[in-house]
Amino acid sequence: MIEIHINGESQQLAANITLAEILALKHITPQSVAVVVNHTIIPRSQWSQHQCQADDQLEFFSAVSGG
Amino acid sequence: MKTSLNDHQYILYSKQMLLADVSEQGQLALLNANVAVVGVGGLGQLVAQYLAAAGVGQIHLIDDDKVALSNLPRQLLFNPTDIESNKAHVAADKLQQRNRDSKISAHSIRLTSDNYQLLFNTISPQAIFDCSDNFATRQLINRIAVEQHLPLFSAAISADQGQWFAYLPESMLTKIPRTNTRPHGCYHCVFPADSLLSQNCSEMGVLGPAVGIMASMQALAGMNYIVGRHVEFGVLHRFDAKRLSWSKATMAMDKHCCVCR
Repeated sequence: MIEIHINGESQQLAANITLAEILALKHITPQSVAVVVNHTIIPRSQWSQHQCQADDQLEFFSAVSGG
Repeated sequence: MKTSLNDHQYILYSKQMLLADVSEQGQLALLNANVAVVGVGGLGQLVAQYLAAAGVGQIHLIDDDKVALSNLPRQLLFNPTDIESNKAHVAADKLQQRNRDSKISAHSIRLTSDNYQLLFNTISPQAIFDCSDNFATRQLINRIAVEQHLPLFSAAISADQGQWFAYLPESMLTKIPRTNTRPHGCYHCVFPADSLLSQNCSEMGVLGPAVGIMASMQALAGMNYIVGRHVEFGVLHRFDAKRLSWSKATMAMDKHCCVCR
């Protein structure tokens, strides 16, 4: 297990878990969010390959389009 | 092309030129600039005011929307007598009266994939300000920036969540002096076209100053670019208007992006 911080909250998750697996675990629709890992937005096409590391800081957020 | 300032302009723009890295050279760059502002609502009406007041030489305002009563608390350029009039035309008329160094053009059209090429080939801007109010138009403007090799200054806000970024197409990287900007992701790399938004923006409330903050950041980034200052391209800034807090993240390029790759 590794500790990962998601939107400021610490969580214990399986080592080598991918971003796509985290989203599935949290029942988050992939199309509804962008994912930041350690201050970099990871493109959605990479989520299934991107393995998280211990102490990674993750943030999920959605697009806004009003003006 | 303007190569010198008159006495009136020296006084009018003196506070801008007192900034050492703006100076007369930066002011001349503003006077010779040609930009497009897409959307003349909460964001666009303020961006346009700042750009015109700063002396940006040519400003194209693009919007087919009309002023509505519910716009007035945050779209301060408009007043009750403007209701039902086209926003681009009202804004252009008012800004033209106030700012004689700027040529303000109104384009009362809705930007679409069918009309953008003719419009942009005609107006030939050197930068785009995305002040639109819907996701589809934002995707289109991003595509235009990539295709037409234009820097993009984009802001958005719904409820208490604001986002802004500056994007420079990879084809432009070698043309910008004094920058160490690396290739970065476009809007589509961050939000692919099939992204789901939590709510339609027309269903969301917003406070006027929150819109003003996003528009100010967008206008400031664009002006910094025009005068030759360093601009941090490829960073998405998020603003929480309830907590008054900011965060930012690098926009990584998606090697599979169908827009910028």
